[in-house]
Amino acid sequence: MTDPIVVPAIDAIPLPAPVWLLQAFLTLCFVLHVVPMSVMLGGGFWALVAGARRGDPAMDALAHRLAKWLPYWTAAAVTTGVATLLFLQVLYGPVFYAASVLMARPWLSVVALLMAGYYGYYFRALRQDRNPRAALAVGAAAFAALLAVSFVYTNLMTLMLAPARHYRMYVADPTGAWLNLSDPTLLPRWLHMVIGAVALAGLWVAFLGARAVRRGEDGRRLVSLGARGFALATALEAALGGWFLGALPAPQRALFLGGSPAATGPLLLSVLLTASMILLAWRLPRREDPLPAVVAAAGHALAVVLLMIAMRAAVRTEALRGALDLGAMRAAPQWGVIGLFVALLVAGLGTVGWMLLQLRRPAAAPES
Amino acid sequence: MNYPVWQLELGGGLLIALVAVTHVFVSHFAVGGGLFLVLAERRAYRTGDAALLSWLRRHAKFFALLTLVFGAVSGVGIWFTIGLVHPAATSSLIHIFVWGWAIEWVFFFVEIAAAVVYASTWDRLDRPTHVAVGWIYFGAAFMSLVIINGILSFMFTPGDWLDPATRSFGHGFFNPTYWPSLVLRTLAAVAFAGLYVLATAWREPLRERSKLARYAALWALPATLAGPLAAVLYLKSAPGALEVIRGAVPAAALAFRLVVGCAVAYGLLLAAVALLSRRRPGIVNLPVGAALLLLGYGSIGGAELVRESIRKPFVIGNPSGGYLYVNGLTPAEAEATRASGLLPAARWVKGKDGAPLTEAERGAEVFRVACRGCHTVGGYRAIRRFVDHKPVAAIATMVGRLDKLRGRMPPFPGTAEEAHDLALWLGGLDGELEPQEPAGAPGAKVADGKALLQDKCLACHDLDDPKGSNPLRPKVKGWSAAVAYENLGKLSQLNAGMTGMDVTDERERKVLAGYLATLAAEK
Repeated sequence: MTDPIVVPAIDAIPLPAPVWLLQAFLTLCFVLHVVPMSVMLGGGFWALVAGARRGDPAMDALAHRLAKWLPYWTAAAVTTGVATLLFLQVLYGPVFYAASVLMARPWLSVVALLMAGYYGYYFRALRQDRNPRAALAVGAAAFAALLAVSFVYTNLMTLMLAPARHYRMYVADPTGAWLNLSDPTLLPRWLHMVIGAVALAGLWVAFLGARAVRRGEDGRRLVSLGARGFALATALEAALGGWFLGALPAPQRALFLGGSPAATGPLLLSVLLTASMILLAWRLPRREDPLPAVVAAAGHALAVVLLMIAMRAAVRTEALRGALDLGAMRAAPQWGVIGLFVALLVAGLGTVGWMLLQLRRPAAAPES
Repeated sequence: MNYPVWQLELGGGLLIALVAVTHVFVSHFAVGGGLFLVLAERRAYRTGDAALLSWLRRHAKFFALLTLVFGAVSGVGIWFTIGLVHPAATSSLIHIFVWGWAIEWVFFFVEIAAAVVYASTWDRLDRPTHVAVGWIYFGAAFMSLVIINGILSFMFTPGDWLDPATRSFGHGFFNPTYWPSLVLRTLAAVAFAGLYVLATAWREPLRERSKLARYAALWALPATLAGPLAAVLYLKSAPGALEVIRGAVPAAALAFRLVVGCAVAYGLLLAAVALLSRRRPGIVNLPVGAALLLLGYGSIGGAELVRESIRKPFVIGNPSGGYLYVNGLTPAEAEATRASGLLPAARWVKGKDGAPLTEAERGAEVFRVACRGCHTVGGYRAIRRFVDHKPVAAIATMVGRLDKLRGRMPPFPGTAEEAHDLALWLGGLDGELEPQEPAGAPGAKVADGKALLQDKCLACHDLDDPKGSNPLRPKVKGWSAAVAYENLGKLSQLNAGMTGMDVTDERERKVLAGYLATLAAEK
């Protein structure tokens, strides 16, 4: 007896756009998702750190500020996550659906966990003045729920890259109770993402402090906390990256060790950028006006995120080689509808931009 | 067949219903409530009604917290759920409508942003700007409904999309039930905007409650009264829908009664509350608000169950034709697997590694692929209800005629041998394989009658067991052979659920009529 590699057949209905366009939208949406998602998750951590130092006015103010914004970051993360999942399913449906059925129960629990986290963040934002203790406790529970969401997501994203194990897992237990715990890449990949989120949100803390400094307020402690936190988390993330690389199956690891310029190049570049970013962030609190350096560090971080997404794509392509061939997918592009989507997207962004501009106007005088 | 089937004893259909109905109840409010808020805000400014404005601010906060979080995340929840229960259908829909969903996402994105701004800027924006943001919210929310309605109605009436010659996004989207469905959903959205007023009105001072109850009635009652007209238009443009709610699918008929019953009940209750609250404003209270919302939930829940039922035997399609059966096979695939076997074509079944399977084990695998999409073993839509205490041959007969039984099932997508294996496994679920009835020998009328009874009747009926499925003896009580003969020829007229079951062979009709008469006479 042999373990067959069972992968669902590609859908008989052709793709509604060329593969390259769907890939482009998938990548764009993921970039737009990963930033608010990281700030949502990592921000929950920093809000807890600040909230735990009660009685310290600067930390109280920080906790207040972070808590107020976390629901909005969550809204952005959910909204952009929906679009990412849409393009992921259209391209990688066969392995995505198979893996999600294997871990149906934990996967479905994401909905409840996300709702708990989202409402928890709102509770913290709305009740922190009236009942700070309860707000902090609920905020902690919300952070834990969102941490659990990230763990389930990493399980699914790694399991869908291992189609060779799907059939045996399904036959052994078809009740959807699986996680991907036996995968050696699971833990380093998840921790890499979580620590990355803490780092990015640390930059947000530094940004808040830097803006306060520029306004002439006392924001130095926030700059120091955020920037040093960012630097330390980034250094830890680099070490986790090494663990992640070592845990990859040999053919995937070889890509980053000279096997593929499309993987090795981004790895080298990201290592250099990470080193420069850590130095920049560590020295940042000493600057008189730290805001430009915070923006520069954010630019570095965004570049590293883009490079990581490129490396992630290289791993996915290699892992699914022989199991899912995107090149074999037929396409019958719906150009008219695509054009309508792009036009509406531009109009939608314009509308949201107009609403945000209204918020920048001075507050209206009370009207009777 | 193409995807692994999630083995869930709760039942995939029930799970989808629970998630979907709850989401739909909130998402329709998210549309109608947006219009309500902005019109009520304008009215409050025009009339200088500070109390109304004060309530609106609280209601808007409730609205935002419910729709932004629960509405948005439960919508994602439906997507997760259908992907797990019907991955083939989800994949098909995404391939056809990915750009439709992308357009809906744009409106969703604007809707979310507008809701956040609207609910948090009462003191920050001037009145015209705040009202403008409200209109942006409502416009985006309504357009989101306009788009998703095309995809939902397509699942029921794919129309010209089914024909490869006219297969296009436009034909699928603007399908035969698109407009009546949009009218129906819009009316539901407006009605729910009224009902949800009672979710927060009970917290207001007594002097304000009567006014709010009248607003609620003003919104909910006209839309509810217009509902039947839109429902008739919808059902008329949906092939086979009227037969289904008249009893061809009992669950659908029940669900339709639930819709009507709940709508009438909340209409009467709301009218009474609006009238009586002038004298007794305390009647606008939490229990009354909860009852109204519960009845509204029942009405939309029933409507969604009707919509699910009238698609059968398809998940994309309706009784007159479709693209994908509820078991995840296309009609062409089912045709092929009937000829060459389901298990060789199925990917996620035991035995693909070369391990030999017994007949019953093969039967279990056939059940997994062909039946699990709708049935469980002992949970929701439990198959044991239909097969326990039945002989294997009767079960095999039932399997061979699935598409002719009540409940509008797809034809069995396997070979005769696979039907036998399935029947063998199903027959053993109660722990014993019932003895077979003797085959009818020429001239032996009693044996013939028994065999015919087994073949024609016991596939669906039990003979006596009042706890079993649909006992037969009470139904034939008092029948003479002549009455039985008459009735056997018009079973489909006696019960819409027995369409296609008329006994047309003259000899079989006579023998079975005689045997039923003897059963009717037995005590």
